[in-house]
Amino acid sequence: MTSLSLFKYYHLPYPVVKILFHIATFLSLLILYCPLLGLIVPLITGGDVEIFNQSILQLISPATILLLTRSIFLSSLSVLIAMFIAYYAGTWIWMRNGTVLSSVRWLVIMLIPVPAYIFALNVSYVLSYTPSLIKVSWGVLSPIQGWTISILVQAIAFLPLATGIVILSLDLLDSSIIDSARMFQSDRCILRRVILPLISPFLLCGAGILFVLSITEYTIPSLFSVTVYSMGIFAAYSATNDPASSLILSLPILGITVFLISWSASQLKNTFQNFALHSYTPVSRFILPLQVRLVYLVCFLVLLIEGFFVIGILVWQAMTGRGALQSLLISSGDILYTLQIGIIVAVVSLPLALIFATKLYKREKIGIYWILILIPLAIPAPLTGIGLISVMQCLNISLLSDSAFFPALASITRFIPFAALILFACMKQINPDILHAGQVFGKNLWIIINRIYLPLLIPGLLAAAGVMLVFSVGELGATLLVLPPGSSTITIRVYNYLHYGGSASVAALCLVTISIIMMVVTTVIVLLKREKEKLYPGKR
Amino acid sequence: MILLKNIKKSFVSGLVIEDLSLVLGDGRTLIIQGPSGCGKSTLLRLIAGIESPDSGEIWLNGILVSNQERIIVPSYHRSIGFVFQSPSLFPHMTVVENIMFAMPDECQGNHEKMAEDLLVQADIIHIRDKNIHEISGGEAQRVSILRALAARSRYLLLDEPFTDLDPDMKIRMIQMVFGFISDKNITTIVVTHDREDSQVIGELVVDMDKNLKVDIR
Repeated sequence: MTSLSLFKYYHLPYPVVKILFHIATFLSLLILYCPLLGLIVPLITGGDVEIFNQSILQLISPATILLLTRSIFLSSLSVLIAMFIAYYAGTWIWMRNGTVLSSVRWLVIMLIPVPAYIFALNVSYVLSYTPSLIKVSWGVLSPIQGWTISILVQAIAFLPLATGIVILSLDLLDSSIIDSARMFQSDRCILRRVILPLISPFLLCGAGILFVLSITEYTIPSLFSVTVYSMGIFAAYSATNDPASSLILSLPILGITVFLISWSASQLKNTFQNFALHSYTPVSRFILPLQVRLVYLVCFLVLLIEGFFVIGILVWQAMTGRGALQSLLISSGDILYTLQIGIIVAVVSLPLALIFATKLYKREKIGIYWILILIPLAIPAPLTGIGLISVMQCLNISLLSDSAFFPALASITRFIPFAALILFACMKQINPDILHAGQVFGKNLWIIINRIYLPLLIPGLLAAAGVMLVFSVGELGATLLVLPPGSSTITIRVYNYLHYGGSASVAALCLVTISIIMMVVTTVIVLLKREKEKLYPGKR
Repeated sequence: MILLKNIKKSFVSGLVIEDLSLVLGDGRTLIIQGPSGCGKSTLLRLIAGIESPDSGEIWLNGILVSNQERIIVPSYHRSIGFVFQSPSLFPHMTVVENIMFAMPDECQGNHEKMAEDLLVQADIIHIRDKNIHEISGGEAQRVSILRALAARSRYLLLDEPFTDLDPDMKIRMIQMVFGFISDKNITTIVVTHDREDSQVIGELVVDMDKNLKVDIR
């Protein structure tokens, strides 16, 4: 019979395990906050006082305040448009669960990781052939450059992610609630008075995250000659080469995003606690009035057209233009380098994300961990790059700076909160008593982790690795700054080609990016379905 | 011996245990009964180390294992067999693998044979290699009980163990489990809301109370 005396010779004593976990958490947070530390340390240790004063003056100047206001306006409006269309399109797809139309959800999943600038390039290409038409209808506004088109393209770029959020929130609804509600009221009323209020915390949280992504993103506005606040941070760093001034300038944006993330975190916590674990297939078709149905249908068509439009325009451009094949051959090294970074990101992120997710799971009610883990989402991409350069300079680590390590670190620090959230959601799907049973019957910590926790978390680990890989493939803002001389990723190559005008080359490389993303997403989906079928048969 | 001193435990929903003290001598069996939500399961989870007490101390075999908001000895080092309210079987393992997982290392080499013996006794040898999602609720409950017995632990905690079983099978499993317990001299706590179960088991029964005081040495 085993007894407590076994405690003394079974591997590490429990207090040591706890201390090791605390050390691992601290080191993981250190990696996560590496860019921010790279910005704060020079500020504390004394940077150039003159530049510091200039930055403060610039921060409170009317031009900066105006730019910030306009950036907030751009992000708010684009998120509102995206969420509006996404709500109707996503609900339309969800209402048709179990029919052929519901397979559009896979198109949505495929489109989510497509970098925003690809949408912008496509729109530019189409509009370049129809300037007169747009000018007639839009009056004096210049359609190809400017705020209006930036807002619209940003909304289009975020539409797949917004739709994904809507579908996910609907899929998580408890089917018994909907079925019982449908017995008493019309479907239109159920959608408005039962379903919408139930998913609204999730939607608000999604809108908050979209806003954060939008306000920290500058590739779309820069392609339409619009300067936004995050671009201003990048420009300030280029002018002064001082990371502290970039940090000072980014304070308002950090303040807004930290507030939104803290708020979203509380919504997310409640959402994960209250929702059911299985998706809903309607027992009978939803019946809606014609005019309402039309709104749903139009939004669904916008999404559908966007999906085919992205691929179609790129294929057309690559096939009709010159130099596509040549560019692909020249860029083969970049493609391999991008994949190398992506694989490093996926592999390194998993243990870190696992630590963060465990922390969230164990300390779910303590909001500070949520904020701590989600805050890096608030840091604009250029600021991440600037922070990492500062770390490189402080530590004088030129050996690492020449490898794929720093570009990978840039993606890890930017996107790891997503991986942590995916793993946390996966942990929440497991009946806690199964984990407790593992805890009771496992002979030591290694057996519990190796034979219970990790096998049950395989779906989450796969999804997290896939998300990190595809996001790193499309990363531009931070990679641009930390890339070693002589190296390039596909995204950077596209960015460079844009300045020299090679639309066919750009299209060919964008298609490569999308192909990589789709291959990764398809592989992850297939593996996920297999794993989920093994663990939870019969559930989608 | 299981020793609980002045245990207090509350959740967001309210105070579940206010001032509970319990002494249960080696090889003794205690049945705790009471309505749903009165804190019976929480008591077992505290002893197993799944929850920590807000205040008070928990001692197992003379070792302090938990005290105020602290787990000193983790569940997997407490020598406990636990039957959860829901079967809580590992979904990525087969029936026999679930049972073998709980077996102590000393029995290595004999694991499969011992698991088969238990399955025969519970009349479910035919589901030996089935996946967990392929078996019925009653079968899952029996596998869960067998897994706890297979652990060969010093203490056995049973949380509504016979709820999902039909009357005949319930009696058969009670005989099997309590035969095993008396053979191996296992200290056992059973919680149930069903007074009939308590009568069938025929051991010492107490009603759960926020301020329960029990001393059975």
